[in-house]
Amino acid sequence: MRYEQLLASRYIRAQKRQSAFTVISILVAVAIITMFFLLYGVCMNCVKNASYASEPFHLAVEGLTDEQGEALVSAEHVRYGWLDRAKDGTVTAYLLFEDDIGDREIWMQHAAEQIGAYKQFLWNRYHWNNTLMMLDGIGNEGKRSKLQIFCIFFVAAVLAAFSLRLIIDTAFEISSKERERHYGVLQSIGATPEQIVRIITAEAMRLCLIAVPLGLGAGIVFAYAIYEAVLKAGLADLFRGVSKAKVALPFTVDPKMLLVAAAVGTVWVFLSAYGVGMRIVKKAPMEAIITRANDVKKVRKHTLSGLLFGISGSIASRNARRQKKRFVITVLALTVSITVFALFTTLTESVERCVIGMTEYFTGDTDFFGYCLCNNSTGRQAAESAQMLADSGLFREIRLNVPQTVFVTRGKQRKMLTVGYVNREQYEAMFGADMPVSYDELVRSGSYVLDPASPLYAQADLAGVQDELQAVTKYRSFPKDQIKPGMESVVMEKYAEAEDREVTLKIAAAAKDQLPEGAQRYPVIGALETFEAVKDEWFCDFDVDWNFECISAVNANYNAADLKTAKDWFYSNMESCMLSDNIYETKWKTNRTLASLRAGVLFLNVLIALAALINLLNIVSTGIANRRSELASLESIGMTDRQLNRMAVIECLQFTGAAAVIAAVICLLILLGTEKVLRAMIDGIFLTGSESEQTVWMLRNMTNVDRVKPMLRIAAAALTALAAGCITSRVMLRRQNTESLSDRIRGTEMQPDLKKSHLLRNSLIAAAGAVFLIAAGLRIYTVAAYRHDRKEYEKAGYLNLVDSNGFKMNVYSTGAEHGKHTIVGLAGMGVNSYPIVTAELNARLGKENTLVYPDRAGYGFSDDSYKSQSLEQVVEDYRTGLKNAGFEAPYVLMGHSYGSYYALWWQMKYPDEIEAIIFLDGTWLEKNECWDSSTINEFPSESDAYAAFRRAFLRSWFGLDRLPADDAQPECRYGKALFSEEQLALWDMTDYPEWSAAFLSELKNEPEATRELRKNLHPTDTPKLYFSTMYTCEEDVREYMEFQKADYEASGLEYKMNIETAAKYEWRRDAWSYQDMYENRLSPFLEQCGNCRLVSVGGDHGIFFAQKSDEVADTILDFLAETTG
Amino acid sequence: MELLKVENLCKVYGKGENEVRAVDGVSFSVERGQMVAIIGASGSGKSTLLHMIGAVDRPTSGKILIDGQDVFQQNNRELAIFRRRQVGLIYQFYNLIPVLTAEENITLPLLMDGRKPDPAHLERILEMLGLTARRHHLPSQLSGGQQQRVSIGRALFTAPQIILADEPTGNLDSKNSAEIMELFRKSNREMKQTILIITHDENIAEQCDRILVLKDGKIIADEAQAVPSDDRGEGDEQDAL
Ligand SMILES: Nc1ncnc2c1ncn2[C@@H]1O[C@H](COP(=O)(O)OP(=O)(O)OP(=O)(O)O)[C@@H](O)[C@H]1O
Ligand SMILES: [Mg+2]
Repeated sequence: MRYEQLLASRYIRAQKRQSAFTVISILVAVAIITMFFLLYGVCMNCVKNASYASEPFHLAVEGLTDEQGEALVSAEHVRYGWLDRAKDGTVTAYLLFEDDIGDREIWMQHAAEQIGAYKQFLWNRYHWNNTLMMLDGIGNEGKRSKLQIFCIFFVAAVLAAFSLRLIIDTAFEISSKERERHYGVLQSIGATPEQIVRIITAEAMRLCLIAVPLGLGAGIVFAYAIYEAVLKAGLADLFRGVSKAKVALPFTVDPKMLLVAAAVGTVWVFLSAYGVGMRIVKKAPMEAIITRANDVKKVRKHTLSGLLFGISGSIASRNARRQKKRFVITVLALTVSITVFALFTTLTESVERCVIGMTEYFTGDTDFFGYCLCNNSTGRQAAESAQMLADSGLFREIRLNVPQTVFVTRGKQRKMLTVGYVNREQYEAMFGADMPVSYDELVRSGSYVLDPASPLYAQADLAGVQDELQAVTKYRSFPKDQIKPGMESVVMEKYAEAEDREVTLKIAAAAKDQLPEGAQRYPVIGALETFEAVKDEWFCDFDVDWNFECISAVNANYNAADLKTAKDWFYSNMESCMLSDNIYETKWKTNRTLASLRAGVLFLNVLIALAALINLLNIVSTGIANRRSELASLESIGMTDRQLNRMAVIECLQFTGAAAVIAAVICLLILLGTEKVLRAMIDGIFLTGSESEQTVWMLRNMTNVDRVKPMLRIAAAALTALAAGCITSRVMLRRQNTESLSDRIRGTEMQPDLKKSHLLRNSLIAAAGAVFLIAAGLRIYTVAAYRHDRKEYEKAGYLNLVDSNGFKMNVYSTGAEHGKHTIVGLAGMGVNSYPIVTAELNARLGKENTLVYPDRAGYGFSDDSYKSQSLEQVVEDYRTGLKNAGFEAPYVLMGHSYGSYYALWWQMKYPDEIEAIIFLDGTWLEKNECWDSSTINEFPSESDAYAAFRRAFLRSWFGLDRLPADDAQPECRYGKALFSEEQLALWDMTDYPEWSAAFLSELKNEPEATRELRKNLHPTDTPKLYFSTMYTCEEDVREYMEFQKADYEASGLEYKMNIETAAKYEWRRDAWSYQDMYENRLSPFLEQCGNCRLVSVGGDHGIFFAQKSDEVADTILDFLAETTG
Repeated sequence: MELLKVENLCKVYGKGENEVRAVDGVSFSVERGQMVAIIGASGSGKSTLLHMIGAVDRPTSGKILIDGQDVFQQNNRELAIFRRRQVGLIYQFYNLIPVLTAEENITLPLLMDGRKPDPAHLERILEMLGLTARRHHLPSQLSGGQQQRVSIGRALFTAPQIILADEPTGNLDSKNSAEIMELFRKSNREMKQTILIITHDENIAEQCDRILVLKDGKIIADEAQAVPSDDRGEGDEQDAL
């Protein structure tokens, strides 16, 4: 062994405790760095995914013709683009760029010129998705902002890294201080400076070898814990559940990030060690030898602790002075963590208070804003809608108001004035205890009150008004015969004839002048009842909508469930109550986000505290261990245990006391600083200068930070640290007491045990072994569970394994033995339960026909296959499987969804084998070639999607998909109303493993398959029958919802939607797009197939043939009889 | 031939009131192969002087020349190599590395030089120092005298030109002392090593060629002496050659 290695290993073993502390320090530091890097990745992912979820494109250009759209989609630099038809018939092109496009405006101008859409460019009918451009670094601006973000992160990371250096540095400082003398001796017998440095760094690198991998592991665990905590604390709610959130914001460990973290950690350790080494070699050897680690440099006769605590205190205070640097570092580390601890809660609290306060300032305590709609064609009045709101029981308070514009003459000018007619709740909310007259009085007399708190009050110069206000209204009339069904009252108001009417408003009183100003105040206020009385005479001859402001019945605690209930209610009642602003949702989101923030920062705080504690314990225990013989000398001349303990306690007190005092000062400074910043923010951003004194005062008041609580926290933290220190020193002293005095006086500080230890190696082997065993165990469990399921499947009569091309294929058959036709079912993408969900259909078709359901590789209980699942491969597998199972051509192919791809391919390749094709809502060929199967669409990019698929496949391979989901909320079971328990159980069985290699490959092959098919598809005479579930009328929508409702109710859940109105609304909104799809996509596709009959059936795409088995079966039988005789 | 030349060497500790002139303008020179004893009262600056000659401490002023070369003109690395190859320093307080065994402590300078210790040579030295049975013990497991012998072994092992010994026999009984002195004399004779020994022992001082007496950091006497023992003759012969 090289002597450096020899020395290093000996020192590590001689100073086990200290080495352990150093290892832990490095570990914590590396862990924090790792965490930092990983969370950066997760954050970026989060932003990216959120952005893809809402706007999955870089650029959108509206108002194009079809040709222009096509041209734009295939323009230079475009990776992928698609077109969407707008209601007005134009198309919108959405583009994702492949690579950098330089100056984006220039690109746009150029492209616009080329496709002849210069108008769109000039009229700004395009939209850059800045977030995504930034994330993908596309365009100059994008690159710049990406760089900016990275710089911010980098600066933060560097700052964090530097504070972590402090931890590592301290650890080295402490362990090397004690050994400076030895390095002096080594130098004196001829070690060169390089050699000294090498010895120190060799030791450091050895420690790194242990600490860095552990630190990386710990970092991943920490990061994951934070991730979980943040999700659970609130973020998950924004994504409707933890498991959904995990899909949207995946936690991924990027090996590159780990590498960087490991490198940073190692470099930091190296630099720390190197620094120590360099400092030692700067001294002459003799200086190093004589400056013992524990020598007192200067002696002060009178010290505070000496005065307070007598001789024990005196010695203790000299001990602290022995190593200034060490003392300073410890105090610094402690101070930082105490400060962070004390400040963090206070600061988040006040930021929170401010954010929430701000929201409330602008919205009051209202949760929902909207309109109570009237309907002039049916004669339903707004009051009825308001009654519905009240009857729903969802709202604690419902405030109603109808603002009406009147004019007053002031001198020569006509000034506009809003009269607000409000209901009792609104009136009370406006004035509270300061009501000028009671609401009842207002209703009784039909009079009005003036409110100086409204900005319009001063404008219209109402100050002098008493008793009466002369005004002019605009009376609007709309011809009755022109009212169309569904015509909104806003529209009517706009097109109504208007005439002036002179009116007199009786003024009952003026409100006090000192109420806080608000956004929602009217200068003149009347009762809603008064409005109803005067409306026909003063304002209009038709009904108008009312505004409502509701407070949720449960607003004390914003939560997703109540939000959903309310939203559902508004959705199903949208004909009468229309929601315009969902403040509840905003507040809830704010709440959740703040909670997540709190959880995340709390974790960081814990880590920092941990690091500080480690430092403190290290210092305390090293201090005692190094003075082993010295303390023994003190004892030998008669110092008692009590006095020794006292001395140790006083030393700890010095550390913690100093830290507490400094922390308190820093805290105060920071608190005052934040207050200033918050105030400046409010003054500069939110206040416009026209607010009343009270408002300003109220806002300012919100920013007042509590100064007492942080001080209490500091005291608590310091006391905890003190306690920890005292316990450590006591334990150390107790341990030393077990040795005899003379041993301790004589013994030098270090005694390595010379036996070689294999602890590291053994524990690595053990860890690897454990991982292997767990993995093997999981795999064995997975295979066993699969076998067990297959047995059950066999018992149910569904299993019939035959050889296909290199794997066992399950070919289930049913119906007549040698039927008229052999109908072959080709399952849709990921549908493992095709033979089960078609049971009802099979019973009907099987009377005269043979039905065969071959499961392709990886589906149901067919084996998995690692071959690439191209169209060709799958079709060949089907053919071999069928042949081996004894079913001969010709076949009638019955392809469900994606199964239609295989059916078409088969028919083109082997036309003689195919009698007919039945498409059960088969996938049609889109115009644009893309990877847009519904699964892939959830991911930002193909590579992201495939990475997620690969992870899912691994999970499946180890059977982790069989574990229950971690937020198993009661969910509606799909098909529950239709299938028996046994069928559902079999269905579930076929779905494990969720992911197979073959399925993964099939997904990957999809774009290629689409291209291939498009290239080769040509009309053929083979008879074809296409079942479509696309909505063709409102009734279809209603029927679909009925099916859904049945499933909900069978699952024991309440179906909250009002089907009647929801269906109507949806049809009204989307009919045109179904129409468009029907004409422009489906029909051309069927024409391309040739000889195809289209049948529209309602129902759910996945199981409509079970929902409407009669209709489907009859149609098929008729079709077969007709076309094939 | 002059091997070591000390010119007006000073070492001052502290400042003002606390100033200590540990070595105060010392000049002398030593011939190659001479064996010099340095004596003086406790605190007279002997150890300080020796440390500066061994280049483990820097003088406040003055020069030390070895083979005509100014020791402190060298850079740190050269100094280290100088200490490793040319000097063997035996400390008054041993200064062994506590985590290394006796044997490892002895061979350390050679290991640092990147050379492999010759096992036979090691055996011989351990034998001579009576440490064979204790070779695998850590310093903390050795008695004071044994530790002293380990530090002597460390100084002798690389056969340096100059050996600087600070009270090498301070912790030894008379029999052991005599053996150690015999060892020094032998290597002085065989390898023409120059040896400086600090001692409080009259007997030992008398066995040397020359005695320097220090008081308050100054040389107050420098006497060459006729060597009583017969083996001096051989040395003289070699000198003459
Ligand atoms: N690091 C130091 N700082 C201050 N003074 C020192 C230091 N080292 C030595 N001295 C002083 O220098 C003087 C000479 O010390 P040195 O160790 O050389 O004496 P010595 O002759 O070897 O004594 P002894 O025979 O007791 O070993 C002493 O008075 C001592 O107090
Ligand atoms: Mg001395």
